[in-house]
Amino acid sequence: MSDSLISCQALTKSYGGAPVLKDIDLDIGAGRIVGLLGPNGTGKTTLIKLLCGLLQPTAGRILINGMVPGPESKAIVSYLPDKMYFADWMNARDILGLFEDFYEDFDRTRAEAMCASLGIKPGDRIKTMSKGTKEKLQLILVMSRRARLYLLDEPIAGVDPAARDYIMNTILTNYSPDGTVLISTHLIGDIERVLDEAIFLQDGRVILHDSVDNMRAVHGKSVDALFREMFRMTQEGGEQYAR
Amino acid sequence: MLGKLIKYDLKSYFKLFPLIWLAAIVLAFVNHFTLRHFSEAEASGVAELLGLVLPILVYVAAIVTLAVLTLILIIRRFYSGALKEEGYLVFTLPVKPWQIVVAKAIAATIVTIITSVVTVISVLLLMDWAEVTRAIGELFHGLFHNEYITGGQCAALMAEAVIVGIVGIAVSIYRIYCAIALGHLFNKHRGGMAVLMYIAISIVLSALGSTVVANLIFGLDTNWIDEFLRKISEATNTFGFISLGMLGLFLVSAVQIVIYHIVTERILSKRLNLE
Repeated sequence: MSDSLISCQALTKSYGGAPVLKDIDLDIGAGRIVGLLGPNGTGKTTLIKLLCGLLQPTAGRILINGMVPGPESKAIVSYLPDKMYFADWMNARDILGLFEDFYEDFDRTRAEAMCASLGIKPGDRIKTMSKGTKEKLQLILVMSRRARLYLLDEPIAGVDPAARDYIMNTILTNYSPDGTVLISTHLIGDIERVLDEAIFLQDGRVILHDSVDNMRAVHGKSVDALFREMFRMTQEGGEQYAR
Repeated sequence: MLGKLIKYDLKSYFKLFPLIWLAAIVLAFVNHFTLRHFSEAEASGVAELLGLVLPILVYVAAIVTLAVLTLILIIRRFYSGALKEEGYLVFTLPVKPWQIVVAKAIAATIVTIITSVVTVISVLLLMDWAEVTRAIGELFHGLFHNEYITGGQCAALMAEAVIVGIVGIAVSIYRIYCAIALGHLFNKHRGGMAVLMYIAISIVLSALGSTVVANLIFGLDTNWIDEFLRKISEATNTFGFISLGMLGLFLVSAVQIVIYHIVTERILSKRLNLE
């Protein structure tokens, strides 16, 4: 597809011979909010790491806006990992300066305004911030870019409902409308209302990729309900989805 | 982008190092006077002896700490700054992996050079200043006015020595980076494996060195090393002789840097797997 922002062809990733992603073909267009959904350990983080160039495919290929992951694709991808990536020597001013230096699409004024609304001062050392504040600061940095593709890995996992609202509002009010947001999560209920498309991953394979409206129409239930049905846990360790 | 990467690596070092450098200078300055005071006093009582020995012990401890801290921070800036959580930031910047490696190596080399200069200045500060000034004056006079080399040649040799010294620092840093990158190839105990890799590299270098020395002693070899040494021995003047020696040292370090860089860069490009 020529209008694809993300294109994966026969993408496979193995760790030490054990496949984590198997033969994935995927096309995602521009200007969408896409949920990457699946239980823990199904390859969501691996797929996102491949898209942002932190991992290399074992087989197959990935194109981001027609480019193999590299400096050019990284310049248009804004990535929120499921880990805190701050250096312990930095203060808020340092990390804002770093983003401004390296990313042409970084809107420092917007980032500073969001920091101020959270009470984060430029001279505040990141090391002394609470875990919640660090997570929010990382989200502010990522969402203050006018990126073509936002890769958000489990942004709402392990946070309280108030923080979850803050995170979702920050994402929805700040992403560039012509950009695509790919959110990985297993907490579908909280994000279903904002999704245009959903991708279901199971055991390293894409078992379903469709618009959310189509899923609801075809299956006659919410995406959350569909997800729970597909991935219902059994005593044997999980029910397989029948295509 | 390389310049920006170097800037941020230097920034990380400069959050702490200026204080340590200043401490080394101030401590040497204070000890200079303490030592003069107690060495002039009758060193018979315990208090006088302690007054003489304690400042020296504190100073030596400070200099050792400076060296160890420099080493630890250089290792941390690469291990934690690229291959732990911070790697999620560094390796998603729009730069190439080789730029990350080179930037870290340049920043670490700059910090090590400054630390070395600070250490030398601090040792000189500790001594009798009049004596030091006189000795340095004599040394330079002897170097620049002798029958073997001209003043210009002496200046050139000094510049060569500085370059060889800097490349020597860079090769030590790159050897650490290469060992850490090789340790990254393992799924578990990456820190421990990096230490093992460093030991392995040292053993290989030592074995290579021994082979070269053995060949020299027993004259078993007629390869390029012999050829190079023959050229050195045939040099008709002192300047040429020392310069060729320097060139040899430079090449040994430069070849190592190229090998370490390629290994490190390839691993970070193709086998990166952050925890």
